[in-house]
Amino acid sequence: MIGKILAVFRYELKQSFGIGTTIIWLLIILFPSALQLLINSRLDGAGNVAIEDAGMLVVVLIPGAVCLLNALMSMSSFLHIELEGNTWPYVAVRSQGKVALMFGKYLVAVTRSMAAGMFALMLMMPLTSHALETDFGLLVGVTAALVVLSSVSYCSLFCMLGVIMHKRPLIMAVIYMVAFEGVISILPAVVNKITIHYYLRSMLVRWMDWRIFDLPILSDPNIFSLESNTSLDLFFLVTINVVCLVTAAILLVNKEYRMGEAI
Amino acid sequence: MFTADRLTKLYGIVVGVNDFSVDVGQGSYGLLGPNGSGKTTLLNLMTGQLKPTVGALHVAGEMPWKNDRLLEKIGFCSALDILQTKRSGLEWVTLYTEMLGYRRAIALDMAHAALDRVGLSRADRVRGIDQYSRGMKQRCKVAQAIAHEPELLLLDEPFAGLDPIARYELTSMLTNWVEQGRGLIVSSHILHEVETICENFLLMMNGRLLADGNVREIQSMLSDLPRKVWIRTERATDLAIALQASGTVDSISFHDDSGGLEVTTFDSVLFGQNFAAMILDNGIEVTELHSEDDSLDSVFEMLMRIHRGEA
Repeated sequence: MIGKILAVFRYELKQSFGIGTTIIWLLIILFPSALQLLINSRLDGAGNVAIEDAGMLVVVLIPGAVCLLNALMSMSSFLHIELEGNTWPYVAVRSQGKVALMFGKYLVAVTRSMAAGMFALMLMMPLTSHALETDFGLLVGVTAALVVLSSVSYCSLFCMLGVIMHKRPLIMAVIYMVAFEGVISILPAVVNKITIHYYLRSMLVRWMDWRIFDLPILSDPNIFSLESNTSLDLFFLVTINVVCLVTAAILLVNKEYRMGEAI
Repeated sequence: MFTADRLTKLYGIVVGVNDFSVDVGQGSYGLLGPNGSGKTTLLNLMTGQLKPTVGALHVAGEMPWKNDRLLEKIGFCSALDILQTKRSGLEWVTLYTEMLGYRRAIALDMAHAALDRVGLSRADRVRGIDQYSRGMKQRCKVAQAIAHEPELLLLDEPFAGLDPIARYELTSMLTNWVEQGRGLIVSSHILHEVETICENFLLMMNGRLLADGNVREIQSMLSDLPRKVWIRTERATDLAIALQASGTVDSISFHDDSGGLEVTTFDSVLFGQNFAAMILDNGIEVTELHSEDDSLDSVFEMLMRIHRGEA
């Protein structure tokens, strides 16, 4: 099984570096730095920015946007591409082929998402460092860790969504992303605990040892898992990952996928 | 090789395969039928891509649905064209060979061997598939199916898009495959090529099995059915009267536009024996006479007419 997954990984990684996809990938990487440059030009001479504000922007833009968008584009349509490209039958008639394909493409999506996050972080931190009086190294480390967690988690989520809604995967994934990761995740209610963003920002605040009431942009304590701890947050995040991937694998194995001329 | 017992596959209210029962042994089979007759659905059921709605299906003694063990024994080539890949044919075939569980180096050798067999040149196989002609894609598809030397090869419309030379080469390859004693099921509309490769046939229509067996067996099934004979003469009316008087024909119809007759007879042998003497006795000059030949085309046409209630 490992060999099959690695075969798919090798093939799909090369396949993923087409001209169009690479340009989009680079634009997403450059987006946080461009925004930071714009902010810097507006704040010129206005004094230092609180690390909570600058740090939150880094985390919102990189693990929260760069990684999420990469995961969305790489993973949500993984099944749709096979069905539309008429290559699904060749996967389906390989022993364990469907699951190997899923995990192979998952690894590619995680790799691309992580790489994009790390590149974006490397580009953005020099632009942000002037605003950070302290904890610069810690913020870089925490953001890098969140890039890893974000990439792994969002790829799992979009993997499941791509299997469930394989006919219009990108549209459905965007709707889900806006509705759940955008709106529901910042609601001060229990329902936000099913979102990935909730755990990522909670770990950020805890690892950075920030007092959340100092955060003007996110001052409601109910939207962080304050009563919890890092181990528990990681446990929930891993659980979400496992549930998403296992659900996707079970559906792939048990569901019939018809090609255009299947009848 | 495979058995089906009242096999039925429904797509909602659309029938893919309908009450299909058959028991076929090892050998080569042509799966024939018009578009929408259920050939692709049957192949997808046999390869475990679809689950039967009703009935049972066994391929090489195993139920195909969710059966990884069976998948290792079969090779499958879909009728659909490969789209959206910039990777080379060699990489593509190697990927699917690796996905069968072979290590990369071995899979690469197997892919080269398979591409050699289907006649895709060394220069072509390293180009991107998106630059391939339909025939080259077809060769790639067949190559991924045969790379691991499966016990049973299932090909859905393998001749589609191939030029005459490629068709000849594929026909030769498949004939050789059959001669080695391996199982083959070919779905096709190109009857004469299937006839060259396969000894036996499964004829499908509207998801149902019309007939199965070799050409002779299917013809013998039709021996009690009327055969059509087309005759062209300037004295069509006189000939019709003479034929009616001879008692060897079942029906006669005139074709005013072509000046000919279409005659159906239940006893084509007796008709043939009497026809020459009859036209000589009546002094009728016949300029054209032909009947359905014994090819699979004709047999299939006849079965289709029976199925539609026209014969």
